[in-house]
Amino acid sequence: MTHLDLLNAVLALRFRQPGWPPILAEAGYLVHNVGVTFKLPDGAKVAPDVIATSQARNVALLIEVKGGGGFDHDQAGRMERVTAEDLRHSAYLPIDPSACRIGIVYVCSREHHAAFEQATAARAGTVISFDGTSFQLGGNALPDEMLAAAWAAATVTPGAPPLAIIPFDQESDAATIARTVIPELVAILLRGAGVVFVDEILQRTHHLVHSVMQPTGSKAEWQGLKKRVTEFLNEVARGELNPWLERIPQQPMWRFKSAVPADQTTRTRELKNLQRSTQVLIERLGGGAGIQLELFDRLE
Amino acid sequence: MNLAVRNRRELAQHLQDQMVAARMAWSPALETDEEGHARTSVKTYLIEAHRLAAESPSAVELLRQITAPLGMSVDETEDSDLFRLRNEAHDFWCDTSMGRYWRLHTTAKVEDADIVHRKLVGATPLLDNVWLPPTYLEALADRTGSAMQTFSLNHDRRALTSDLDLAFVALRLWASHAARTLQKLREAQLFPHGVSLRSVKLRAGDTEPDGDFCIAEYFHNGKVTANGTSFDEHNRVLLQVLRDYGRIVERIEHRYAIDVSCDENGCGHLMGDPIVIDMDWTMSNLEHVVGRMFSATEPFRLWGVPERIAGNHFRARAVDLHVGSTLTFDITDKHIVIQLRAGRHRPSDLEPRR
Repeated sequence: MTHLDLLNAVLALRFRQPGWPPILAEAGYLVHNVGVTFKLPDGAKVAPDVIATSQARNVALLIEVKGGGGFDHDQAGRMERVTAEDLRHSAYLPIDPSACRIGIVYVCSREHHAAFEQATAARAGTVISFDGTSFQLGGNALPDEMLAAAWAAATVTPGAPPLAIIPFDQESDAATIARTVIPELVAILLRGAGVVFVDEILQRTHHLVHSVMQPTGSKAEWQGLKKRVTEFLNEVARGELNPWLERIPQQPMWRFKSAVPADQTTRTRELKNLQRSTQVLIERLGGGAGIQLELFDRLE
Repeated sequence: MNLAVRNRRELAQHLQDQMVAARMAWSPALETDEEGHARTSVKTYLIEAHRLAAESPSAVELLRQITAPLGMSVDETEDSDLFRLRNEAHDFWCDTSMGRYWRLHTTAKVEDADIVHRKLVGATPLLDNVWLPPTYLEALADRTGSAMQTFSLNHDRRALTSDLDLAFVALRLWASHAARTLQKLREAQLFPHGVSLRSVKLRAGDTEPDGDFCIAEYFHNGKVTANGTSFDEHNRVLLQVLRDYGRIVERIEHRYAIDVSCDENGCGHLMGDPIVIDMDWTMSNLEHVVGRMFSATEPFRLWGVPERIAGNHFRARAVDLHVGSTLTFDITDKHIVIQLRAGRHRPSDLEPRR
């Protein structure tokens, strides 16, 4: 499982969706901004993937999602230095520092469970591994026993992928980026904006993380996403979407070559042409043949 | 062309005169000629105007932008939120006093009025029909203290399949007890998975023949045709419908839109939930259904490139062509799950069409 798969699996425990037990929501946890970065008093930065808090249980969970098997001891050390005061005053969390207990959670694939248990043996932190249908807890105990029990008992319906709350990350394949970004291009085209900015697209595709990644310092991650989308737009503007889109020379922006037709029939035809080209593009990028769309249909 | 209308009060009088005339021209013998009858009724189109951002134009600017290519002009009136739209043959009055929800009135023939309305709404994603969910139409008489006189059904699955016995049924029913008849029809389970109302006709106001009343037909797409003796009664029901609709939209946007909510200290947390619609598909080929849904055509008007992400699980990030916003669909043989981002959405997105 990739980092993105596991991150969306954690978020699936907050958002009610078929096949997934919303144990975080049922336990009254608030999931705070994904990817939030904050500074410790010594200037060190801490950026857990997810922070969840329960005011009723006086617990804050710093959840680090691990797509691979590597364990970053420096990062773990920084997480272990986080105090409730830091969470209250530096991460702006609505907690009572005098009562709040902090739990560090490493979420990984089942295949890496033993390795993470070993890596955290002399450290703080609970290991929670996922195999697609169940979770296994190891390492130190969670400060919230009821949540630990619910997490250990939680089962996911086989073959039920989590929703793509975060649709892609730096590591995602180009076809996945295409499936997410091109609908945003179409929406911008329909609005008649004419010009496309990468930030505008990411604000739409990653709206849950955009506001915190921008100002608080996860610049590397945000820049990585921007780079991927920039490369993607450059490629498609020269390729399959060239009839519609072009790069503005010497500018980090693109423009549509023409507005969407005002006449509805012509507009529908144009949108279907765009759909057809997108299918060709996704197939070229390795996204498979896709679903057969009825692009020449009887209802037109 | 009526040049005398200068404000909402005069418009109400003018439209009431037309409603009365339409009623006088109506004969019970012609009851089955509903479309012909509607030609002389007052038509009101309920429209949602998505003017959320600061860069959005004012109502009059937006109307002028849209109507100019259609060969129409826009005149302001004494009321700052009432505008007259004119083409060569007809007047339309656009009442924007409810902000996001507009009422477009006309006395033009229904064929002409429908064309103008379709062009106006189709010209920009900033305007959309007020899509009245079938479940709401069914409850409309009770909600507005009216009596349901007739209803029409449009059970149309041709967009998704051709292998059903009842792929397409259009039905218009007059009955002495329309609501009860609809209930019996539903209980008889004549149509697989229920009936979808296309329109309901209501009588609101006095029950006496010479009292103040309005007989109005409300269609799924926000079109209303009205006659009777009281425009005020017509307007009363319209306002109730728009307030209800506004509450539905607000609930969707606040309860279901997945977003970040910040408190006064700047602390954010994720809010909302995906919309989960339980499905009992009557179509056997789900892939074909998905292919149809995202083909950018009626009735769905969704643009997307769906993919199969697991056995019978399809996912598509799609553009709602009605309003130009994006949303993500996960479709399985048991559910449709929709992720909405904060913004503009239609209640009809949540009405299952199996």
